[in-house]
Parts: sequence; structure tokens; C-alpha cells
Amino acid sequence: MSEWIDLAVYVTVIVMVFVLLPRHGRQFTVPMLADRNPEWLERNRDVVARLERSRWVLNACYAWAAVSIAVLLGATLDLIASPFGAAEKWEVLQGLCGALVIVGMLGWGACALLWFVWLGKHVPPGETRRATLRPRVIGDYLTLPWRIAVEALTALHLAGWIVIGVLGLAAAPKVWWSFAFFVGMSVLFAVFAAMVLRRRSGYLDRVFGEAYRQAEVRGAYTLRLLPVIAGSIAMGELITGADLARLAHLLVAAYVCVMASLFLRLRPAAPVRATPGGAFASDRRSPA
Amino acid sequence: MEITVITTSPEPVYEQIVRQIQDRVAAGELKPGAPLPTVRQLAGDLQLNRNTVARAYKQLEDRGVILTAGRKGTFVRDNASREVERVKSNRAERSVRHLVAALIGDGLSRAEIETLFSDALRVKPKETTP
Repeated sequence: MSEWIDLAVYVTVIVMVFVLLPRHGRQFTVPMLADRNPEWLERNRDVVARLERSRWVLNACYAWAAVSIAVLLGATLDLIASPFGAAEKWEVLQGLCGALVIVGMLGWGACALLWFVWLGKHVPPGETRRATLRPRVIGDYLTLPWRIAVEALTALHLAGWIVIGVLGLAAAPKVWWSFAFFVGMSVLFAVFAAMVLRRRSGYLDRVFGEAYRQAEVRGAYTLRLLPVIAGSIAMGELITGADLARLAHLLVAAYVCVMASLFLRLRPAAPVRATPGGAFASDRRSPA
Repeated sequence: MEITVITTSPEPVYEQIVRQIQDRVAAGELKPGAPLPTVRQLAGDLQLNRNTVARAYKQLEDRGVILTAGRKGTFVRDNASREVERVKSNRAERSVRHLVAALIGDGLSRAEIETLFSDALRVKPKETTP
């Protein structure tokens, strides 16, 4: 019975990634063109209309979502033989969902690459470019209590491993290896969060305005909690001997859904205007 | 506060950046101590090569308008507006000298040059703007 909970979580991930996100992303085709070259957009209305009518990428995403859900449902109802041998059903569902998402994302990535190649080939960059003269600082995107909470939880989690190791609450080599692993993960995600703030602006920043980077920074800081959650689960496993891997996988799936929902809330920063460089300036800040 | 560059303009892009930052300083929009975006941020937002923005910042630094304090960032200098005025005044003086030398080279007398300048000064500034 509890496999249906796993199925529900994984079906939500599939629907988010291959139905809602592509449908939401499709409406940004014209804003992206307007951002790159508004004059081109005005001169090539027929091409733009054709692009707006084209649905093959969206239909491919829907088809992949249908196939994925059918496969997951088939595995739950034992209609499909497990490709992972004698693994438990929740492991089969988790493995299948992971594989289906990765394959689908590769296809989606290929489509995105084709789109950017097409843009580079057919739409020359506009002549007028705009930028803000205000430096980007973390305080613009994330409030201080948020940052303090993330840093404190990270420090508390790592301190927890030290306490377990020193007090000998679990097998020493495993504790210290886990500690080293989670220190590495925490540093890696901290570096990633810092990079999100400093990274070069792209199409999405100009199309969505500063709200995009804000969502990204929030996502990156939420991602910093992943080592804390995974580490706490691993700690619980080491001390109590319980198997919490299933819970950890479901939490990762839930995290993907949260990130996707952050993206779904984004709206273009301004309506499409065919004025040189005036379509999307990067100075539109929304308060953090 | 925005900066705009036109890549097809006859004025080099780095000079457009220098000019606009100087204008903001002179107008008091960028006050002493105000932080400026990093070279990487500005180049990314303007979709320009980092060297172009770095060149503009270097020129502003040489003119005493901005100060790069290592990893702390780039800031408007305390006496930036005075430096901007001095740079503008030097540039104006050079332009006038150059023009006068050219007019003398064309055979115009002192009186004729003075008349030309007086006439030009009588034209309202709006009419001289293209």
C-alpha cells in the first residue's frame, strides 16, 4: 500500500518536469527573441508566429510524461518486470523515476541546445544593451534570518557528526568518513550558492528580471539544506540502525517539485515591446 | 540606475561606459563611496567582453573617478566629481585649442575667429544638440 505514496511523489515529479515546466516555459519564446533583438522581432513577425504555433517540443514532453507515468504505474501494479532484479518495490520506483527523468532531461537539453543554435544563427544580437550600475549583493535576494538559519543548521549538522564521533555513538571509521563526505557536500553547495549570485546574466535573467536570480538564489540556499537533511538521516541510520534511504529519496523528489514550483511562479519582467534594447532591462529589482 | 551602450555607435563601447559613469558622478547620482558592479557583472549584463569593461574601469581609475579596492569591490572616489570636472575642463580646453589651431591654419584672423565663437555662443544649447 505504501508504494502508492512513492508513486504519487514520483508522478508529481514527472508532471512538474515534463508537463507544467515545458508548458510554462513555452510562453517565453517571444520574450527571449525580444530580449535578443527587438528589431528582428518586428521584421520577422511571420517567423515568430510560426514559432508560436509550433508544439512539437511540448507534445514530445507530454508524450514522455505519459510514457513515464505508465511505466511507473505498471511497476506498481507488477505489470512490468523489475529491471533492478529482486529489489524492493520502492527501490524499483525510485530507480525507474530517476532513469526516466534523466533520459527526458537529456532530450529536453538537446531541444534547448537546438533552440540556442537556431537563435545564434538566425537572430543577430541587438545593438542596444542595458545594465544596472548597482552591484548585486546577497542581501538583495535573501533576508538575513534566512542566511543565518542556513549557516546555523549547516554548522549544527557538522557539529553533530563531531559529537557522535567523539562520544563513540556509532562505528568510528564510518562516522568520520560520513563527516568528511558531508563537509565536502556542504562546501560544494555553499560554493554553488555563491556562484549563483555572481554568475553572468543570461536570457532568463533579462526575461524574468531580477526575480529569476532571486528564485535561483533561494533555490541554491534551499539546496544547502540538502546535506543537512541527508546527513541527519544518515546520522539516524547509524545510531538507530533503521533504514531511512527511502525517506531520503522521497525528500529529494519533493525538493525537485519545490524547485519546479519556484520556476512556475516566475513571470516575464515586462511585456514585449519592440523598442531597441527597451524590451527587458536588467535593472528591475523586486524587493527580497 | 541604468547604463546603456549601443554597439554600432561610432563612439567606442568602453568610452560610452566611461562617459556615462562620469556623467552620473557629475550629476551627483553616483555619490562618493557608492559601490559599482564588478567587471564580470557589468560585462555579463551588457553582453560584452570583460576586457572592454575592464578597460573602461581602468580609464576611470586613472582619471581618479573610481577606486578598485581588491576583493572589496569598486567604489566612486571621494573627490570623483571634482576629478570629472577637471577631466571635462581639460578636454574642452584641448578641443578649443585644436579648433583654434585649425581655424588659424585655414587663414582666419583673430577677429574672425572671435566673431565665430561669439555667434556660436549666441545659439541656444538646444539648437546645437542633434
